[in-house]
Amino acid sequence: MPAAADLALSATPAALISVRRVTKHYQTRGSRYVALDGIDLDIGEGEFVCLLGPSGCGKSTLLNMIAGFEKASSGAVEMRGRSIDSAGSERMLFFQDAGAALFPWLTAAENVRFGLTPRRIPRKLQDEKIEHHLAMVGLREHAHKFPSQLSGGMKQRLQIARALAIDPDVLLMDEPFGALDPMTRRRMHEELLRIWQQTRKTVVFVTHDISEAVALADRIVLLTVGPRSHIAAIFSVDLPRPRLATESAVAILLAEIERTIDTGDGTALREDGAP
Amino acid sequence: MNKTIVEWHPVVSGTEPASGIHWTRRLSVLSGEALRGPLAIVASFVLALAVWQFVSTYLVNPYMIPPPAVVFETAIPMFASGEILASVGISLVRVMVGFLLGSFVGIVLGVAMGRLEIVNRLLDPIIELMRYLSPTAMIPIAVIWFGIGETSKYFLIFWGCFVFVLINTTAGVIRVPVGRERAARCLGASRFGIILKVVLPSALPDIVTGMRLAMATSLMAIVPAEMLAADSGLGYLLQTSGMLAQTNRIFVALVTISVLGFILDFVFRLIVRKTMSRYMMV
Repeated sequence: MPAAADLALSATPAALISVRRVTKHYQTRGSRYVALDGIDLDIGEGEFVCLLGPSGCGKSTLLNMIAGFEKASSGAVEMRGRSIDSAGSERMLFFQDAGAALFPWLTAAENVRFGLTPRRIPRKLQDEKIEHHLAMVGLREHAHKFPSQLSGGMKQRLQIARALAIDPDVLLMDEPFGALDPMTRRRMHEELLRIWQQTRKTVVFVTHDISEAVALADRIVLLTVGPRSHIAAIFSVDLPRPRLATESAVAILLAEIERTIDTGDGTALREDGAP
Repeated sequence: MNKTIVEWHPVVSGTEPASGIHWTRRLSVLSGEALRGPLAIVASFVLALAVWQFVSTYLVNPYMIPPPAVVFETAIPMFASGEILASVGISLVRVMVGFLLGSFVGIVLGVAMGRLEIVNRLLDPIIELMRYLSPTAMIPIAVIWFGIGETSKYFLIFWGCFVFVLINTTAGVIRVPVGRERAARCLGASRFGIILKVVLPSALPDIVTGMRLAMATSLMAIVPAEMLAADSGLGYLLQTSGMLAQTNRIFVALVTISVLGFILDFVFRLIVRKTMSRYMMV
């Protein structure tokens, strides 16, 4: 990572989450596998950041480090200047496999309540929060259904409702819509953007789908292929949403990202369209 | 099965006789489409009784296999006098104490082994070896350790139960999806809360499977336990009937044990269905 880029990033004011010179390696029978090599990234409050990269580039590892489930081998991951060393409810992790992440023995409403009971919130307030958040994701009529009775898209919405009910600062989403069909995925994009605009949560969204990143993100962080994955480029996307692939600015951005991936010298850092 | 399936095998020209089709169709009728549910059970019993009656009347000495009618006649006074019920009651108490104790220890140790790798590493080899020691094999040492009182019976049933519950619980606990546990952590559940509210409910189908196996095992273990070191219970009834060469009483005891096992399993499944059905969904 060039020193100039490093300087530019650390100058970003009021970063909510900062990732500093983070590396991650795994020891495997004598040899050392370096997954992430020198990641520097600041994420601002309320920002929607996509981590974009091919499978196995370590983007999920990076997300799990921000969540506090994995530790960096060197470097620092901080939130509001404080080192992240365990999971906390201000950072809510999302999973692609909603069927596994939800509690199948609890109804939709009870799944949402799960996060509210450890907080000693009065029962009546809990009920209101459950009602409010299920309505927000359009599941009010399905409050008493079990996850097995919900479709894939509905399960992901329930995961969103359950997360928002505990009012986290950051949503960490690990390819949450990767298992959905393209049409459902588009609808989930619309819903997520609507909810994000309503709540102004910070979102870190992992994906390997370029068009998904372009449709959603304020900034797209492009990671190189592993091993020794690092940030190839950062694209600031200052385009109004919804972003249609037919709009010329969107098409140009898509082409630009694809070109960066194809030329792949991998070390260039770009801040396209930054103010 | 609730759907009639007629198997249709098209005949490959020349390789199979034309009658092949008819044979297959007739076989699938015979293989149980007409016999379903309670009707099949009744038919099974009627058939077994008929074969039993026939064998004991025409093929073997009725002393070796007393005919059903004789067994039934023997059973009536045994029930009327309360002998059977007393034996069942005593054996049942022993089975339940050992079963509940074994299940409890199996679940606690299983959770520990499924959650803590060090516990798993240390205990697994020992359990792999202990599995081959049946309750019967443990009788002599149990008598020396606990005497011929109730404690040794509880211990033997416990011994037969806990390995099944342990192995199944461990497997269920290890299988809890990482994502579910991490979600619970993010939602603010404590470490203990995760065990109680995430791990145990997720592993419950496996725990129940282990307990059903354990229940069957405990009925198999109670008999030798009571034959060698007891003065009451179903095993004792079998033992004394055997010593007096009363085959009709032996048959009454055998039928009682199998019916008792069937009822226990039925009740167990009923309780699971009524109280835990939501945990059995995947």
